Amino acid sequence: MEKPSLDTAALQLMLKKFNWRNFLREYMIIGILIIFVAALAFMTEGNSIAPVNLVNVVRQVSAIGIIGVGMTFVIITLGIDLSVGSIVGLAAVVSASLVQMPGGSLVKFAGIDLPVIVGILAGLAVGALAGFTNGFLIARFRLAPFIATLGMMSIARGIAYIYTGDGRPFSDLKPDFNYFGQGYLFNDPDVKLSGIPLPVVIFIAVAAVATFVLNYTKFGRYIYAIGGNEVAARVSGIRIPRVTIIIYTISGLLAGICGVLLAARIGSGNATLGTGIELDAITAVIIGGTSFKGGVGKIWGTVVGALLIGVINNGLDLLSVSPFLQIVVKGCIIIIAIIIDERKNSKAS
Amino acid sequence: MLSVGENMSIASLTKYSIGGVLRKRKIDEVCEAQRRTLDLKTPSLNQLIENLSGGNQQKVLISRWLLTDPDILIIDEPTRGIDVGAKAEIHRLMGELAKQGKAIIMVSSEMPEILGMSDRIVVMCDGSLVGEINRADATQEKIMELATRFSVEVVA
Repeated sequence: MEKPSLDTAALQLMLKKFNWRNFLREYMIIGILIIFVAALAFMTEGNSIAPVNLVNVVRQVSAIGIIGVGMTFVIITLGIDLSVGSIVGLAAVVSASLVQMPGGSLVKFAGIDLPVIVGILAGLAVGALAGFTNGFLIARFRLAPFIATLGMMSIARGIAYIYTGDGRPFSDLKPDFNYFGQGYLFNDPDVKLSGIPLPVVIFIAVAAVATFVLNYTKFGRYIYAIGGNEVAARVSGIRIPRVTIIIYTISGLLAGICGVLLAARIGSGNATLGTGIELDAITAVIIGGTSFKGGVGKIWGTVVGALLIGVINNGLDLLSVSPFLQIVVKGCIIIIAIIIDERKNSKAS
Repeated sequence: MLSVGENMSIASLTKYSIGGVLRKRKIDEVCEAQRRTLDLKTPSLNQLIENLSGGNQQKVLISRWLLTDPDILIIDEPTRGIDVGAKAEIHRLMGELAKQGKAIIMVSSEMPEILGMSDRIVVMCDGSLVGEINRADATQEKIMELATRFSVEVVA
């Protein structure tokens, strides 16, 4: 008889000690996501949660999410990376140009037939190189991240256009390449909509690795330390320039991955790909609870943030809201998210 | 924001990681040991350091460098702006460390602290070394006399 009563007492104590406000603050975003999904399902009479549409949404989300993961690293250290959208475009045209079918129309490198992997690696390398340049400019010349990546935003997009020559996209890509954007893992050909789209698989893998890096490695700890207090981090012996360069290189590399996946998804490399995706990614990061004030942030938050943005984008499409109005809505979401961030983090300290 | 434990271990992570991956259990162990030796007043190692009192924050930072297992510890104004109790504890801790054979270079501008803690006092004035006094000969007057030995050219 005594034992259960003890347990209730312990439970009551636990409940009392449990900080509901912190819990709500931490996981509010998941609740908001559920509310949006439910509301949109209601407003679209269930169309928004039809399997076809869901697959579509998660595939769109994976692009924002992959970039958002890199952006999370960057924003935790009090930085920003505006160039990711342009890097997506550049990586897309570079990789697409190397995997065109010989004899197709508008072939950039006529007569060269390279394995698909070369095109993919080239796209990733271009992304990483652009990101490295960002990091180098910030660490070596002490440029504000905003300025360095704003410059890169313009440069990378410009190079992407120049690379395409007359601005026309590279199409007629090899099916093996397109598979990365259009294929599925665990696909059963007999069952419709079975399996997981490959971009989603890659997104999950990227998020998992990033979570591990942030929580279980020295490098992750350094990222939080720099964002929390850069001076303190420096006097603790952290080599800030090195960490900065690695972070921006990762961000660029992830943008490169995203560029390759998007090119493969639509089967052509277009220099305009990824336009504006940096805003979606930044929004996903901020509504996911990463603070613009640095030192705070979680990958799962960004994943949920990206899902929320994807659901809203898609919901507005399904509700036939004008695309121009959609941009306005997105801007409002960013502002609201930052107001919440501001209030949350001033209360916490 | 880093927690108390993370702040303690941040300067010695290389020692407590394998191939860049943190040995979390080991880190918790050494931080917990530090917490006990320094009698750190914090509800948990997961507490954010900014929620601690000034004296306890100072102790966390001393732990940070102790965890790197240094032979020489340079401490600049270790007790500035912290309360009397914490001050005494930090002094006691420095005494213990010295007993363990660590060399401590303490920079301080507080007379009682200098007289109480030092085995050897080196006085600086106007950016240069002006004298050295052993513990036995150290008095406030001697130190002040050295510390105010400005060169004539400067005065004139």
